[in-house]
Amino acid sequence: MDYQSLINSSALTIFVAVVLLLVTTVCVIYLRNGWNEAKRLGVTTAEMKKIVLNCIGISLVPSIPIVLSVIVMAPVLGVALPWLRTSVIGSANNELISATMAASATGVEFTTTDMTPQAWINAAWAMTLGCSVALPIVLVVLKPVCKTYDVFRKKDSRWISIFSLCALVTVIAAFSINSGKKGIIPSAVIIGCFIFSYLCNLAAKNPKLKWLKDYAFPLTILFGLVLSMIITPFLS
Amino acid sequence: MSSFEIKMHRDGRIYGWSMLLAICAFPLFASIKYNIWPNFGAIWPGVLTMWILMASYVLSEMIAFPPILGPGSLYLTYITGNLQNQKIPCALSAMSIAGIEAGTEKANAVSVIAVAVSSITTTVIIALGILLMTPLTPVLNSPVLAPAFNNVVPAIFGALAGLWLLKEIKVSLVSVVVCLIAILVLKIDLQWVLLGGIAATIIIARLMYSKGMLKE
Repeated sequence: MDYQSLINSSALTIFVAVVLLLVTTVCVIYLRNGWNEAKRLGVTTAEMKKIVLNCIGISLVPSIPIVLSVIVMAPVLGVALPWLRTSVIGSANNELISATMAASATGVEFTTTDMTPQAWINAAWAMTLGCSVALPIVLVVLKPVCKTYDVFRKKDSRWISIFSLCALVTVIAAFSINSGKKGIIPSAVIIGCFIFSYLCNLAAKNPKLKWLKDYAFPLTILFGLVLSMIITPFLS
Repeated sequence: MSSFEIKMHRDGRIYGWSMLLAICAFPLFASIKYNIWPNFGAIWPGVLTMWILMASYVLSEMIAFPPILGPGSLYLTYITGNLQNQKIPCALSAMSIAGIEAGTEKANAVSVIAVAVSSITTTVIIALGILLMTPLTPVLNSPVLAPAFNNVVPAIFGALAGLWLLKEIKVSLVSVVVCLIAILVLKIDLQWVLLGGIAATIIIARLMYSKGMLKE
């Protein structure tokens, strides 16, 4: 069996499809549980429908670079392996780094002409073992961490809200600044989106524009993407 | 811990370990099917590098995210991936739509909905992308759209900043200044900035809270 037939075999593709079907089933179970709990806590069906629509909108655009990374990896690694690794657990960058290191350790280049079945198996194992480490850590650590936070919450619930806010704004600030330091274009996009989002929320205070509050977030992302396309020819 | 959280922990661990086994079974299946086995002696340095790289991130995320998202959505997030560019933005947007404060029981429930919907959407889009790979390739690789795909993360975090940083400006200012100094002046890696930045912001916010400087 030649290399391309091996990496694109229907058995591998079916295996991945079954795994992804299982993962999707778990997502549906979680969705149902979250829905019932939110309803029990007083979140209205209308609000939850808005949340669902919003999340679909927000997830669409970031999914496209993932599709692109699958397209980039597919000629070298076949469809099944990148499909699985980018649909669950992994991030495209880490997977690519892992696969390239494994190919190099096997003594071949990460190209369609150089890769061999041995290099592919090495890459598949390296990607799986190397990039799946986050999940077992979470499965072991998360419960004790949540229990510790609960102890603090019982002592002073107002403080734990501020504590959560501290974590939240630091995460946003750190990721924003880290993205912005990469150049003038991402910096301009961050600042532009920040202002646009603020203006949307300000406009939403007008009763006639109340609907804008629900769509401010996906609209702002769309604005940022269009802004990046407009400013890149001038600033790059 | 509420009964929902207890259920999320139990289900999260059961599904998490099961999904991990299913995902890790792929290379084993390929090795058995083609009778080609990996050369662990050659790949272990690369695997170890990834473990070190990712473990430091995950440990800092385990301090940062549980008080924001709650357990259910975090288990699902780590099964399906794409935390930074999809799951966190979706969960925060969901809380904003429902007018819920982060870290509450309601926030935990809507975060689960947000992360589940986001995961299903991504899985469907990737599957569609693979099905339509041939006609889509030239469109997705077009130079006109390239800047947009290169700036998805800045757009998402700019939008999140506009949504959340103005809620408690004093705390946000502290965190922004701490992160600016850590990233641009001290040039510390992101995972340590998260850990140290959260700790520094919490310490300063605690002082402000004790002195009654934060709004009730």
